[in-house]
Amino acid sequence: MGSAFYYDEGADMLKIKNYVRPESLEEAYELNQKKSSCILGGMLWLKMGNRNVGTAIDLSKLGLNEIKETEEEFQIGAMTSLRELEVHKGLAAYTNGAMKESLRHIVGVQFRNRATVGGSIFGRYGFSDVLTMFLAMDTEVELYKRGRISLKEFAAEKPDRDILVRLIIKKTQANMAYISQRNSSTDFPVLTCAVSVEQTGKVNIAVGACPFRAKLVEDKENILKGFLDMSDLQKEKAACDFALYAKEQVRTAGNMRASKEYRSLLVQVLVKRALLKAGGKNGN
Amino acid sequence: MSYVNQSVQKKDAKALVTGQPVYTDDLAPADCLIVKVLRSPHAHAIIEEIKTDIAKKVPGIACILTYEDVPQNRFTMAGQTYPELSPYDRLILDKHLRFVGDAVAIVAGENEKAVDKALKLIKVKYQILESVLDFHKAKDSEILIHPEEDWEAKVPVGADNHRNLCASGVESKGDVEALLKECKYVVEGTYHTKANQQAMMETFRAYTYLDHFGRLNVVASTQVPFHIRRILGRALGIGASKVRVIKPRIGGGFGAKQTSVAEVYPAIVTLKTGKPAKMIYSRYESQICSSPRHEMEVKVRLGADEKGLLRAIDIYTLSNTGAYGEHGPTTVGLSAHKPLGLYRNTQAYRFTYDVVYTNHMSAGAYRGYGATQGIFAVESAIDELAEKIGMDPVAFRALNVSREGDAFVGYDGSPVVTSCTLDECIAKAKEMIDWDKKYPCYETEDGKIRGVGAALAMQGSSIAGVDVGGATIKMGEDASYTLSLGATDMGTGCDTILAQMAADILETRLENIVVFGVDTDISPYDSGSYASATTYVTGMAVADACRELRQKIKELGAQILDVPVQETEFDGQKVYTLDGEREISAEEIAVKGTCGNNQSLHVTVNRSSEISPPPFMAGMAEVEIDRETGSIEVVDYVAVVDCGTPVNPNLARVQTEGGLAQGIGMALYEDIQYNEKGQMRNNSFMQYKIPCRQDVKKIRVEFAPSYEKSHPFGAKSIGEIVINTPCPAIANAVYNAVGLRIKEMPVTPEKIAMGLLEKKI
Amino acid sequence: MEIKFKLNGKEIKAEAEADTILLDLLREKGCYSVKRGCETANCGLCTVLMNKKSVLSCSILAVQADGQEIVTLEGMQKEAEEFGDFLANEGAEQCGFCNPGFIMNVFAMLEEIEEPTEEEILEYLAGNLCRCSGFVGQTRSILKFLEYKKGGKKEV
Repeated sequence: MGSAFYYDEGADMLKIKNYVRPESLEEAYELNQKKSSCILGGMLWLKMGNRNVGTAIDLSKLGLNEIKETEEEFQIGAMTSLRELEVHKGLAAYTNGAMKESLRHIVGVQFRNRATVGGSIFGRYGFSDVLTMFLAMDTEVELYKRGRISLKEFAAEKPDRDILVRLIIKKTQANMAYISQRNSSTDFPVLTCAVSVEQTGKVNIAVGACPFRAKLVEDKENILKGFLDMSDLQKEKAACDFALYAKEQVRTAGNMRASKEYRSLLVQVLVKRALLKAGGKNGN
Repeated sequence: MSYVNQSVQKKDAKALVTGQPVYTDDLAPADCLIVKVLRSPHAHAIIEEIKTDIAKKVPGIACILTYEDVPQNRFTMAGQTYPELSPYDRLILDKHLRFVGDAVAIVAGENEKAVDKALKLIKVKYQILESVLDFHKAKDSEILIHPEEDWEAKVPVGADNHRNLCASGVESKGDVEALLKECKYVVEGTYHTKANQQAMMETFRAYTYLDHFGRLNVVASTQVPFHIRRILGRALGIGASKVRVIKPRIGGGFGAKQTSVAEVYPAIVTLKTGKPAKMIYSRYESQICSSPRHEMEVKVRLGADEKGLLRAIDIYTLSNTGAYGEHGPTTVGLSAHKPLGLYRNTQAYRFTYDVVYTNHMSAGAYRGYGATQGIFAVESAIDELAEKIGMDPVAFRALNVSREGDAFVGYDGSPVVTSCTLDECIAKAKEMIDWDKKYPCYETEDGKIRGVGAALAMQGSSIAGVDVGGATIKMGEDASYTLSLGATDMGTGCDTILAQMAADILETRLENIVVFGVDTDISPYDSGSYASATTYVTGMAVADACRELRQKIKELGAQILDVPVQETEFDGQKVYTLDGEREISAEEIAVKGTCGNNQSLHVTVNRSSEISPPPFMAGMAEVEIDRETGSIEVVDYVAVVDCGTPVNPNLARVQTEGGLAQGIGMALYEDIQYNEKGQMRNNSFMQYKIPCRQDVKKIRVEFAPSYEKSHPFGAKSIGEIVINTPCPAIANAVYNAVGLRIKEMPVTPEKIAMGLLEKKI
Repeated sequence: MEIKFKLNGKEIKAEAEADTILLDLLREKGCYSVKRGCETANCGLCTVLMNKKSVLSCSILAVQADGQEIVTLEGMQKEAEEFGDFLANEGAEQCGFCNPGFIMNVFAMLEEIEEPTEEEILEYLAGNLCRCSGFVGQTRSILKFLEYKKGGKKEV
């Protein structure tokens, strides 16, 4: 169940003893309680690790590959492919194209045809564009046992043996923007940033690939209060101020792709740009 | 009908585009043993103890080999003409492990699962040694990579295993120090290029079996079948005559397969077990233990006089050959010889070099072969010098470049510039990119900045006096021709372009020529496809073989017509008497060739060249930079190439486009990194990003052909030169855009953003 | 376990272990056009169509193909020849190793987007790596093929 994976050891074959396609979530849940079990999603990371899987659980029979749009929300089954999210017209309209922007850089169409949204979210990968994007929206996850909890809460936890059933995006009147920085077009991001500016005045800013997993940057100093009603000049200043604030708030580190210092610089630049883009003024 | 200079389709095109099973792994017998290698987890270690007894008990395991089971003949995996300039510093398996990924044991079994299981059950006790990971500290280090007694440099190349030196030396003309003092303008800089991986889509692979004579047959994805034959003969201690090498279609080479990276492993398994065996390198192995570019640090000093004439060039190259010396002594030379050859006014130069052993993976022969590294350094420094003088860098180059008829300065391949349109290449490239309007930079509407940068390059066409091209042409009974080659088409299309040459000389249709290659038992000797040699020297062999065959056809025709041969001519269709009275068709002659015939319609020719006439080119890049994030995009890349006559303009164009894209990858993304344990971290395509099609949107290629008289069709090489301009052209464009001089490849957004930030402070 | 699936139009049965990768099964079944270029789902060489969508056969278990429809280049020989002619006219097939996966994804693209723009082509095929051609020749061949498909004449 995954989109991608940092791969450090030698290429070793994936070993799976049993493969099961359960008929119900209960059955899947039961099977998944064993530590050696593993839920299959897009299968895009599983074969890479040096892994011995007892039972591989394929959720493809459970009808979890659909996006349902109602007046109030989007319900997205965990087995929905990233590609389906990318080309979904309702999501495109709702996110001002930000959803597509957050996905189109991930390896290639064939990869996104199989990679599942559930895998990307459940894996809580540091580099996840998907997690960054969903965090900036009012998103809940539906877990088989625990029921609905906010994505924010879910993302902060460690993976357990519950099953992610679907994601629910509650529609708010909002403008959104997504920006990522990459060393090459289809590489993992060096930094990701998603912003949604709600009509109510609430602004949600998620920053990811720090290289730590995406988190919301809380505006504890109310820098963005009344952001939507500001003049262009005020918006520019507020965005700059908040960007500097975010730079201080967001913990960054270095890895193969970039240093800590560069990432912090990017936090500032991307947050400012995404804010201005979502806030109604073209950023630069 | 003439085929040379025509864009015909490749002869194998249909098979390739329809996905026919024509590659090594498609052809391997289904029941052959699977061979894998246990790799060293340590950068530097001695095997104290290795236990394979439990692993051997895994069902399906055919053999497990350790250093105790291999012949003790040191050899080099470099596919070079004998005696190789690369030192004999390897064993198939050695007790002494010299990099992370070095071979510890060979496991062969009936299936992959059994082999994987056995690999895990081999117990090794390592004595971990201190390692040399910084190539600046290798020379004269107390830690020796090759302390062994039987280490041997076959040829004096300034090698000394007790100093970690794979090669060293100095070449010079005039007093460069004195001249630099006299020069009005002097610049100095040190430029660093890393060990790029070649990343051909088909990884290293070979399968082996014994034939009915008990000889070792090797089907390998290789550029050098004849060298592989000799290397295996030595490494296995069985002699070359016991080895036959066959090359099917190859999924890309770029020089990677000029080293016998994989062949020894299945070969020794087949010898030990008598069974067919195959080794397919994983991408992981291809990344961490293969034959990448030599990391080089090139220190350059340039001096120009008050008129802007480039007078003095001083180059010091430090090259990192890694754990073994494949291509170490030879690549380093090109880091100076090629950039030196570009300029005509040099009165004194000096080239000093050290090639050092370290505990990195061994380097190899990657497209450009040292020239890429040296040209990045010198072409960057040229821009710095031009700026110091206050000249446009393109104008400075135009003033100083080599021209046809000049004596070469510092280029070892030829004494004289026999063919060159470099001035034309520069003028054309300048026009294509609109240099005068765009130089140095301009701002876009969305606040980004675009800059242009230029660089020149040359390479050689074969190794002068060394490389041998071979061709056998024979007429079949239906008047068709079979052209047997020892040169190795690796997707480049040399089978096709050589057939184009043959068709022109034999005055026949291209479809009438069957191309065969390569099988060392049948094909004529050819050094193989490397050193930009094939079009040039194998082309000569093809032309001469076809000319000789024409003569033989004419002789046989004259004999049948019962007239003296000097009174006849052959026009491809028939042999006819000059008086037009009598004629005999090629078909009839061909039939005669199979009945009561004493005249062989079969010619083999080998050719070598005393000169290596360089192709030349100008490359110009336009880059767009986001000053806040440092993002850089190559929005346009133009190249104008003088490869002599482009034998097949389409294939020459695609060679150029492909080489430029690889060069752009090297310049912008491909960033080899080792950690403190000596592990190469870019061990997959996930962590080693080669360009994808969104990264190379616009490349424009034109030709400015000179005519190289030493070649039957005026052709020179194209394969390697094309990778040499992107690094310096892009670095120069970045400088022209934002004033940052980046001296280490790749140019990452981070280097730009942080560099600009630093500049502001 | 035994699986049944449609391979290139034919219903076939196969024996697969739980961890058999589809790519390996396809090659075992004689579909040698399907190549492996990496182990990390990055190169696109193993692209096949699964229920008309392009997927990476290196990242699918053979058992997951049970009941599905798989098409490899072996099942699209006529189409491959037709488009391949354009590719070869540019010399952009080069070593050929990436061709089958690339061509399968071109077909998937044309199934999804009737007249893709150059930008859409680059984005759709970004997951198909090629180290020989520098990509621009491949793009030229697609654009010329589209032109031909639209009824324009074939350029040689």
